[in-house]
Amino acid sequence: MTALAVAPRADQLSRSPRSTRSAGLLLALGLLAVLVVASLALGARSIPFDRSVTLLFAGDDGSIDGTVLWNLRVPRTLLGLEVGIALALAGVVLQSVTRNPLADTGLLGVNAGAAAAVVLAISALDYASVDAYVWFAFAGAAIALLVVYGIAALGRGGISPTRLVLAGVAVTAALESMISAVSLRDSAALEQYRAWVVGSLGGRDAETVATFTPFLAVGLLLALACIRPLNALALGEDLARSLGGHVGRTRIASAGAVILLAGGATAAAGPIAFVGLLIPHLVRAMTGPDLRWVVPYSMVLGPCLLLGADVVGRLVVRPGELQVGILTAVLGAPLLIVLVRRLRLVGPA
Amino acid sequence: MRVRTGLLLALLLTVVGCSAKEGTSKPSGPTRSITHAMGTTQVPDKPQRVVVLDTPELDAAITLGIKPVGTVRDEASAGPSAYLGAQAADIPVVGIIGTPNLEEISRLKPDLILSSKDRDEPRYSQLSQIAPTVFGDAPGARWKENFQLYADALGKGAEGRAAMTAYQDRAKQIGSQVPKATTVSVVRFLTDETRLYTPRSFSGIVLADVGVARPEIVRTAPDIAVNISPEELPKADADFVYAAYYAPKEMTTFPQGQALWGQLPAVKAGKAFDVDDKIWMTGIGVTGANRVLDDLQRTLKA
Repeated sequence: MTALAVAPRADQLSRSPRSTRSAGLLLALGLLAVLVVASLALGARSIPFDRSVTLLFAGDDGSIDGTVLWNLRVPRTLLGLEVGIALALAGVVLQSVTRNPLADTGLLGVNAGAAAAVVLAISALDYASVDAYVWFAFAGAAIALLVVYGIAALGRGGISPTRLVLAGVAVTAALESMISAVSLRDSAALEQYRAWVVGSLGGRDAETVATFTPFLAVGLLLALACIRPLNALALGEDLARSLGGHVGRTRIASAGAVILLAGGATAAAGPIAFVGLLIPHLVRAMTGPDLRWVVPYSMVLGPCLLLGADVVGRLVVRPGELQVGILTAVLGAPLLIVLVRRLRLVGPA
Repeated sequence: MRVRTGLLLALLLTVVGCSAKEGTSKPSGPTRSITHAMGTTQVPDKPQRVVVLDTPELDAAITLGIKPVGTVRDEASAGPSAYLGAQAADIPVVGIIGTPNLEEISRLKPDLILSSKDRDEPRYSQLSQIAPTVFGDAPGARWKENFQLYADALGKGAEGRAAMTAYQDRAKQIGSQVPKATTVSVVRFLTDETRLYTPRSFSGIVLADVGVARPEIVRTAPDIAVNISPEELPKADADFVYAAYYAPKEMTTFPQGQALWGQLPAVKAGKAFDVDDKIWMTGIGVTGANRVLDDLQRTLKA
């Protein structure tokens, strides 16, 4: 466990000099800017670059190119930015608060909770529209996470990282069997569920994007407020307390941040794997474990991964498209394997 | 000791059960031999109790005046396709397309089972043990050959040919309403895909019989359909556009492309029409094809 421990140690907190990390962050921001431009300029339909630029600044001129840009590409780019930030940040907070390098939104029941709520909504409401069941996804994610926290908090000893993860695994298993039970009995629901569960940035209009922005913004502020207490918590509960931190309050604030970020992202785009797991690992390999660096880096690299995967998905099977949920896993898995191998090499003895 | 006896008994029962079902079932009365996708099979001269395991087989039976004793439904609906009317509505359903319930089929004591290699190939030998089984091949692309095969298996070969000829004559007559260069496109919105159907699909073959032209993007495509991104919806444009929806409209990919859809010249000109997915996509057979012709006759006007 120590070999993979997320907890920072005093000697690691300043592994690379401040200037290097600042330069790296600028570089990452540059990469994100390039990907945003690519996400606006590239797609199944070829629009000349200068025409895209003109349309972007002059606004929708009512042409087909204009509709493609403003109705399809702008919303999905904004959604990619939001969801990328949210998922990466949720992953960082979860891994820190549970002090478990495996923690991601999937592990603590968030994806399963959202999926279960969506399946029930489709089955019970007989084909609601996508816009209607994003709310169920959000509620499902929040309830699942609350239940996981509740179970973990029961009994003596209170919430421990291990209990939290075990509760998450148990709740996920229960929810997944429920999803199977409902979707196998109701094959029409299964069909709709299959379309939702892949995770996609396409097909959501600007309104959906706008709906979730407040949730993600509050989640973001909450996560930022947790940076300092989580850094202290990483030193161990006793030390955190002696430094004047409120461990319980930190855990509750973190849970709130994760519910808003992961719940909102999953509701808006469907469950997207790997971003929340991979990005914190990738970032820590570059910056060390200090959350004051991990958080801003993750907020830049999360959307980079998501937008990059989405752009690739639009180009590889032209004139069709591959959903981003498929590509984050395809692109993310090899990266994570490289990181795992590296971690083993540099892990403390 | 008791456990071992129980095991032996179970084993014995299994062996007996197997040997009772061994071999393919043989019809009792006079038979004809039918050559099909899985080989040659002896079928009864006049089948009375037919089970059909996909929509083309159901269409063929109903078209030729034979009411099957059992059929299947697709994942998204509760029963047989509505376009086949009252004749098909009350046929008992024995499962979903591709996963029929073999026990229920055998309980119906059929004397002929019709399906296709694409749907039920792994179950061919099991189905053959229940009743003589005839399989078609490539439901959409080879729908005319399959229709005649099913007609022959049902003992209605001549009626099948007559129905097909009547359909083809009608198609040609409808085609004469519009200039030869008229282009027609067929787009289908599914829950996670948008497809343009090619001349190799069922609807494409009907349109070829009518004799209209097809849009560039589907003309050379190798499969029955081309998957497109919502961004590419403008490629669906033609003089006439027919749109089918696999699920209720708002659950399909249609909302994604709605803004673009409104900009298609055909849509602006009022030459885009919503059609029944159960007819244009899965109504594979002469009755289904005639229903496609009904839609075309009503809408295909210069």
